[in-house]
Amino acid sequence: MRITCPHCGSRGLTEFSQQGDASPLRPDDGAGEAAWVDFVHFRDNPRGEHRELWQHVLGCRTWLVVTRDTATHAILRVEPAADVRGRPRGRT
Amino acid sequence: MVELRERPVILRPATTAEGSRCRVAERLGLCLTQVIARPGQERELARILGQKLPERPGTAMTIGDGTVMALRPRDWLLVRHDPVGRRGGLAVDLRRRLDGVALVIDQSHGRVVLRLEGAASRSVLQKGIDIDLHPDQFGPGAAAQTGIAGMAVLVHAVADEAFDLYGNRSFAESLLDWLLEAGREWGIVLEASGT
Amino acid sequence: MSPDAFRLRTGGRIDRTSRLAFTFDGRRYKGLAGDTLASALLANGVKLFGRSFKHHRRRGIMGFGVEEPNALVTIGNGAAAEPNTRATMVELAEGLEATSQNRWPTLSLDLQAVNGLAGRFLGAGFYYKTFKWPPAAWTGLYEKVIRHAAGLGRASHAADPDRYDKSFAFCDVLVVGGGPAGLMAALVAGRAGARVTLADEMPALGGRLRHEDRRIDGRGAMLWLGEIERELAALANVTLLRRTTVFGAYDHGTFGAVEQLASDDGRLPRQRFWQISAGAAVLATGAIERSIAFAGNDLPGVMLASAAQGYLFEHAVVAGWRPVVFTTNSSGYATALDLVRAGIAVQAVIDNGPVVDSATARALHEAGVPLFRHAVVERAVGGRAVTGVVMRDELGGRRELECDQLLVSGGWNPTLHLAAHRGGRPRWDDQLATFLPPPADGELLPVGAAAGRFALEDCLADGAMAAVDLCRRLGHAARTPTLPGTDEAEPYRITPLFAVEGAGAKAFVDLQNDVTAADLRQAAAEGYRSIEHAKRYTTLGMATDQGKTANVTGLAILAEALARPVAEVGTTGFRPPYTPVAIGALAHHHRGPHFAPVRRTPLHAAQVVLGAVFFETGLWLRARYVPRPGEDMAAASRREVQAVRAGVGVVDVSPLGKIELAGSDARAFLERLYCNGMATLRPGRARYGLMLREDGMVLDDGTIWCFGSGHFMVTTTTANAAAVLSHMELHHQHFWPELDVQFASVSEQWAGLAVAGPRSREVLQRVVDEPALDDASFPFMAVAEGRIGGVVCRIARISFSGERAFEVFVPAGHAEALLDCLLEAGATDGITLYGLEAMGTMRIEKGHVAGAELDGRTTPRDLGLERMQIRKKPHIGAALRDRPGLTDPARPMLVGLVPVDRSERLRAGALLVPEGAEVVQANDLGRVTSIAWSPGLGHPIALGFLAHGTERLGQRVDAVFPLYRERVTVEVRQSCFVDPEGERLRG
Repeated sequence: MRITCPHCGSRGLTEFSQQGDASPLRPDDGAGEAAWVDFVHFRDNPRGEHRELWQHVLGCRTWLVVTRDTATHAILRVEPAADVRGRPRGRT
Repeated sequence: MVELRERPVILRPATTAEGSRCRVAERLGLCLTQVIARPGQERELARILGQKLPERPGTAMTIGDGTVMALRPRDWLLVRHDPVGRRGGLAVDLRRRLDGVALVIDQSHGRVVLRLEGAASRSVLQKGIDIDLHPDQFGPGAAAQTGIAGMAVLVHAVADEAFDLYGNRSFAESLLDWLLEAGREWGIVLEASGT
Repeated sequence: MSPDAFRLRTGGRIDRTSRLAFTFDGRRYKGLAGDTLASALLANGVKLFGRSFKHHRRRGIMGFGVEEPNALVTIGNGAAAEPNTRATMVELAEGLEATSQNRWPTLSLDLQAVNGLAGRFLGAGFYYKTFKWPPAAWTGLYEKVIRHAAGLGRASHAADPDRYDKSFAFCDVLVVGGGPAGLMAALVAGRAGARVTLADEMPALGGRLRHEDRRIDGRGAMLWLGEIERELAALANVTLLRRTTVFGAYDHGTFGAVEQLASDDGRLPRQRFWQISAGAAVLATGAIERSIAFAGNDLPGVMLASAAQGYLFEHAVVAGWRPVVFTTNSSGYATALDLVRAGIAVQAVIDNGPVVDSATARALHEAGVPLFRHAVVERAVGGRAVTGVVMRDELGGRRELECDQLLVSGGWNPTLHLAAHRGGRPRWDDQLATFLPPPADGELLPVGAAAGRFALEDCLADGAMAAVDLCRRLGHAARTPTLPGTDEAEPYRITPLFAVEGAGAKAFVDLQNDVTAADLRQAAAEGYRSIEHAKRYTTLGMATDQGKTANVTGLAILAEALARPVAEVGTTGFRPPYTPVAIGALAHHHRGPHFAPVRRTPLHAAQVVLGAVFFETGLWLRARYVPRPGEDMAAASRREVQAVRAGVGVVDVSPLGKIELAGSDARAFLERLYCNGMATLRPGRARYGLMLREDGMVLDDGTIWCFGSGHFMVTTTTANAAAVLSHMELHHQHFWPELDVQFASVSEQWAGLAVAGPRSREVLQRVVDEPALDDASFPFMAVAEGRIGGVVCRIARISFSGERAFEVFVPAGHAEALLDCLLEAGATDGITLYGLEAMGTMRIEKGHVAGAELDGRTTPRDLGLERMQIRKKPHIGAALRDRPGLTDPARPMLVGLVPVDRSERLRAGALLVPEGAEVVQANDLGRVTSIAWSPGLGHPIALGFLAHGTERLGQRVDAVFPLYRERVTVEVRQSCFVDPEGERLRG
């Protein structure tokens, strides 16, 4: 498998490390236990498009959000995680 | 005051081979300084350093006897030959000049720098690097942060048949072992460390 | 028999001047350069090559190349012996030693052939139905017998002495197959300036051009081939890989291939694994002929018709002087005519199809070869080899024909494996009676015979057009070439026939696994209706040849038995590798000491010289203890601990993770990362830090050094250095990108030495220029950037051992010199170099938690560090820390443990249960995590987690280790065994 890092270009899978689903947004600190349990423990497992957090560990070490089809492995989109919202809008 | 001499990373004896088509040696006396600019301070950084900084990660600019490599946005590695500066003074001085503008980190001792040269050098590297190293794709001046046999390496094409490899110091022996094995079919030799 | 008993006097592409001597089963033979082991043995008249897997039937050569199911031999002996090698793929070399397999005592007298007599009981799935009773006989008897009888070749069990290599390769167009279609594709793409890699599994290019007598552009095909090869070799942008099998098609244009290299040059490896990234690929892999299932079709002397052509044209070898050809299709006629023209007396051509007038048929008729239509071979007869056939015509009349060879052509199957590796399913074509590749996905284009287009002119056209198409897509200007002309040939026609009814004797489908037509019908009758189930039940296609000559025939027979169309039954899934790949090739450099990279500290060489004994922890080599002559680990580490606590010691702590941070939000960032407070950490001071995961468990612990108002360095544990860095990078880049903080790893830049003990300050001060290390200037937890010998250093007064101690970081290249200086400066104080064993003992004595306690299942509260957590500030791990499961008072808490009987030893990992209680879930009280023998106390100690631990001081529980049947009664103590008030630390 190859992933095109926006900084480094097309690289082989072994340069990356996968973290998991990028869809859950990190709740506000006071959001309550239920929201946090959801964020930490629960994940969908879709067949098809999946947005995932990957890090280019043997390259530029940038965290990326990769949209990948879990059935065909096609990579549909790669963007720096810094450009993707990680938490809801508003105060920290 | 005690004397704190420095030792090279690689201490193996030099080797020879018939019909050798590539060679590797540790480069000594280099100061490596990592500079990470605070957001919005890139221009100020370039001004203080007195030189243009490459923007795109994976590009290297050699100006005079120094090289600047872009590692990622706002993050550069400055390389210059300065054996005395390796005692830490160069980074301390730079940190003062860049106070408030960038984080300055001395990496001079954290990396082993191996110079791989010769007609077969590109083929040797292609064995372990999953990037297209064809001269059209990776000519002189190109740089890439990648991995060789699971070890993080920064590769800088210095010339058509010469590459500088910056590897983490703790992996130096394993990286050298890999190079010597990969280069075996071209009679690779280890040369004495040079500047 | 003469070495050339079956070799024609002229023709072939062997070197008749170069004779090579070799042995097979100990007998000496001679062959020619250019022979394979198979062709050389055939030339010598050898008919028997092996014994079949289950029934131990006599077997000869069936095929020409990788599709060969029978002739599996072991090449070489000793450590380099390679079993299960197809004799058809072994290039003959002087001194080659080959042995047959799966027979005892000899190939011709194989006592295990008695299995054949039990044939009735060895049908499909017999091992699911047999060897069940009595159960006790399984391990004692059945397993032994089956293990002995199972398998084909025997592995040597010695370390593989060969070297293997790997390289990456990149190209615009990967052409798989060097036959006419592939050559045209490579030529067109190469001329257009694209980077082309062409790979062919054989030593020479040309594919089937080498096995037929065709004309291209008005001259012999081999002349055309030579020209094309020369042009390709001269193009700098074209790479030709011969003897290279592309074994797998993976995601995103990635292909795996293995190249066999010449063995003469000691510098070259035996095989090279290529990982190829291609912009696009052309699948020009041709097609493989299949046989027909009829009684006796596995007798030595029964061969695929196309294989006979191969041996004829390539090696000038004939396997029989009086063959019969049994065919369902037009290619069988071409084979017959080629043999006739070579002077072979073809006895008959038997075609199950109708009369069709063609130039080939007429030529055969003129040559006096009897042609029988609407007829089949009902059985092949013979004892040790085929001596004749029983032919049956459409009216049921039978006639016996004599022959010494039976050539069979059941049809052609496109070699479509790579096209199906990524999950696409092949499609059945009724016209061609075979499977075609799944619809092209744009990245991999099947052409020529691989796409079901068998005519030579179509192969040439397909290859060229595919290249034009791909080049245009990749941005290279490709010109449609004038296609070379070819001589006339009959269009392909086939009357499908997969099995011949009746005759009683076994009709084989999968020769390597001994699967018969009857087995498949039996599977259908027993309800195995899915081809995936039937495959596994009968083992059709599961041998090392992966059913290359068997699968299509087999599933057609199954389809008929199920009364379903073949298209509906479909094929099983295709997975890499296409042919067997040596594990050595995939492992290449990574074996033995190079299995994984090794990390050495900057003090490695120096500690080796001082006699340290190392051990592996993660990827690191660390000094475990530094023995004096005669000391074992226990004695050495005991001495080391005593030396530190009484005087001064020094230990290498270089592998600690170190991360440097700056920025106006650096402090705020640290506040969020650690559960304890950072707001009051002043420049010149360090603080212990506890980092949590989002779920409230401890991720790591370390220290935070403050150099300036916005300038910090944090340390992490060695094991978690990479994880903590990634954790910080994720939170900064993705969750809090607005924070003005910059950081990077400096783990490798700084070597670290911990100088510990009551005399540590005095010794260190002799070496350090600045800062001053007296109590007033440098109290407990002070940090400073200083100088040693003019070299920048970083020093903190931090202790892991519980003694007064300093951590000294210097640039790694100066570490050895620093160690020398310290050993010299501390000589009068008896300074001792110590290792991880002693370090571990001391931290356990102090109850300091480390990796064993921070295993991802423990919270700050479990560790007795609850008070460190600041409730008011938001930080990672705060939100979920108060969940009932984490605040349950019965949760195991950190305690110290001491065996009641001081002579008993404890084990890390032991389970804690009430004294005398059974080891069951209900009695689970916790576990032992770290053990040591305390020199200070003179007995074993341990740390562990115990339910209600802090309330049970002084009580007893049992530490049990069921695996070794050990039970040790222990007393619960405070986790800090030595100097609990910490006076030695802060003094």
